[in-house]
Amino acid sequence: MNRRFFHLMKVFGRETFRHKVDVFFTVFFPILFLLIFGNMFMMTGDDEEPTWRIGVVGEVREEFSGYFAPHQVGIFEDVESLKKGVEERQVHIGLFLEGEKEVQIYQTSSMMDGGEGIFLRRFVETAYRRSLMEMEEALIRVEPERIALGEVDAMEIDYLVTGVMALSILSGGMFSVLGIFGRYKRQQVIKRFMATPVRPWEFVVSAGSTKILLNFLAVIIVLQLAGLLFGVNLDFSVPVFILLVLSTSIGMMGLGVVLLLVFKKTETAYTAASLLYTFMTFFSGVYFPVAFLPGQIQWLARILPVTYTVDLLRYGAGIETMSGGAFLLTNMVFILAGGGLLLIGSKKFVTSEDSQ
Amino acid sequence: MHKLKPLTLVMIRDHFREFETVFWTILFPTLILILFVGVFGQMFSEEGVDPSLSYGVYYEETTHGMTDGILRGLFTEIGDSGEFSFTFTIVEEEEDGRDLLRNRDIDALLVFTEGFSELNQLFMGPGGEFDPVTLRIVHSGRSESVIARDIFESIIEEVEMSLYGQLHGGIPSVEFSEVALEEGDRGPFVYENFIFPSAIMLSILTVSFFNMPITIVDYAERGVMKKIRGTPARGVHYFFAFLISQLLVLIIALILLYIASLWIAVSPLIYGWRFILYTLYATVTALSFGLLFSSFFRKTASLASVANIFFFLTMFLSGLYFDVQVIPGILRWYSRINPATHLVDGLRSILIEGPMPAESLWVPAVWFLCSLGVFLINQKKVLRYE
Repeated sequence: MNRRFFHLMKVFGRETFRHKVDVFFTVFFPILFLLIFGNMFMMTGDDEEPTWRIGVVGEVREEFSGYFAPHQVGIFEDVESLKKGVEERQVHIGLFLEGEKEVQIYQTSSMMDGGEGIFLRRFVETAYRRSLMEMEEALIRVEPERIALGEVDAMEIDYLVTGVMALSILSGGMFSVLGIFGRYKRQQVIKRFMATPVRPWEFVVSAGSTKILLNFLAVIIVLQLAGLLFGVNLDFSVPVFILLVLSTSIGMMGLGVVLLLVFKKTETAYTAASLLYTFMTFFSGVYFPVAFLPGQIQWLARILPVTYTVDLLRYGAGIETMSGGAFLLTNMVFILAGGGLLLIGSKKFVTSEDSQ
Repeated sequence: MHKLKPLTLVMIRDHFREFETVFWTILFPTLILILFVGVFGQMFSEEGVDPSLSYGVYYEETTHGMTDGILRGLFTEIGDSGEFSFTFTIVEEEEDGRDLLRNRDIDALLVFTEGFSELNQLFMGPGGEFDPVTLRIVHSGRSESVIARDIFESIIEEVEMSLYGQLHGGIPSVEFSEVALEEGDRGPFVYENFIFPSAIMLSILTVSFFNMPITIVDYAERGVMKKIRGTPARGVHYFFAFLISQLLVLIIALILLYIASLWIAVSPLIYGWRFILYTLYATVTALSFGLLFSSFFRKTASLASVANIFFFLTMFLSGLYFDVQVIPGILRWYSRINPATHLVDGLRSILIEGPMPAESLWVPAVWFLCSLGVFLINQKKVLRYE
């Protein structure tokens, strides 16, 4: 049995890496997101005192720049050079002081400036008013203090990386099941296997294991790249890491089975899976804070399985706390629900009957 | 003409038989438009975002006098203004607040430190140098927590300024006008004008990356071309019938997008001839990628895999959903040579009445000519006339 099982795993392993879409969605797609969003996070940063560059045109007093501290103020000769400076991102914001009481604020219209830009605008407006009032002394001193929610003092980039890992597990698990039960059945691979001494569970476990191994590979690559490119150092203990990736992968595979049970045609299930993946990408709070979503749909984030995957990974990396009971329960739910659904899937789809 | 019409109708029927074609080409872009405007529209609106944040509040010592009144007034004003969706929970001990923060029950903890009531001194007439009072904002590395910290910090700055103003003859009124810039004056940023061209490009790219090349290769694979050549219909009939059927699917998708746009605040310039003409330009140039793709693959499975990879790379690296100017070197390079980046920029420039970037014209044109050239060289092989 063992020889057959490992031979099957070898076969499925080769087939998995030959299927470029599976490899792309599981390994390269999360890397792409890591590069895009990781870079954005690193540029906006979450330092206690981010330094913005503020360009100004107009007559100002010597002490003017002090009101904008700790940010840098640069004086431009005319409006055109100021606009160019903003467009070319030499400065993050431009102030054209038309008169003492009339100020034009220039910013780029890009999405990046959406969240950060609002803060920056409010800051310069307040700072400018303070300069007019010659309000030199502070009345209320604000002291920010960042605390660790878990064992390590995590930055926003650490949260992002664990989110990317969760999405990688989601896509790897969900799409792999569509491949095992859907694509293999359509291509009559299952029918051929069932004509051999291979038992249905051997087929499912060996095919599933190769997909889980691909998931392991994907999250390890994401972790290593995050370390190399952004200096992220998430310290998972090996047993916890194995348990987490294994349980969540099985859970996400269960999700794939649900899609196949709901949508009879494999192609339709693929479509639904892609839609679900897109939906979870934007609404799970991985890339955009849930607090920024409209109140009516914020609860959605709590019912998405990827949210719980993220929670587990963050606990595993020591970023956030979770009670031991909650940790075990969430893992158990993923394993039992996913395993149960895979069993149902193997009974329903791994048969010698004709393909769909 | 009498040969073209039935051939076109057959191809159209063939497209609509596929659920994937109907969903991804026709419904998905409209779904994305509605979803994104509903969710992110407000985030980028003039009113800005109204995040739901919760704060813990801890007083190291009971505040009194004017300070107490100021803080009560501040919390009441925040609650009543309707501008913020903030909740405040007063905690008895600082550790309780930190526990709430660790359990993610609150986003930040505001600690009004000992001596905060010293603010009262300000209202007791000139009394020499004033030592600022301290507010500690305890937060974590979570995005929500960092945002909660920044927002309350800016609220406190305004409170501070208002206090100072009360003591020193009022706050000067200043008229701030905001101008959004990028390759010319673009006016205020309107998310709907940003995402509508993205939805249009999404439709066009779906047809050019998937529908068109997959249909060509699939027909060749199944020997449909050979069968057609056995009929009185000529290659040119097949080509035009194919093109018309693909365009019709795209037109239906665009009509649906325009219908959806009636419910969102997108610029009426989408009905202008410049926008429609440039959409046509985008369609013609982008559809040529379909010809390019079909030139290199003989099997639909391989084509679908590669098309998927390029489609997603293009979707996320062409500025369809978010700004790509800040992405790292190698990805930015892909973004710059990608015609979709310049096509979506071209569509957006029309909606904000800005100048059309030269790249939005020549980059897609170069791609169009190259794709067409490659297809013409390979056409016999692609269509398998032999």
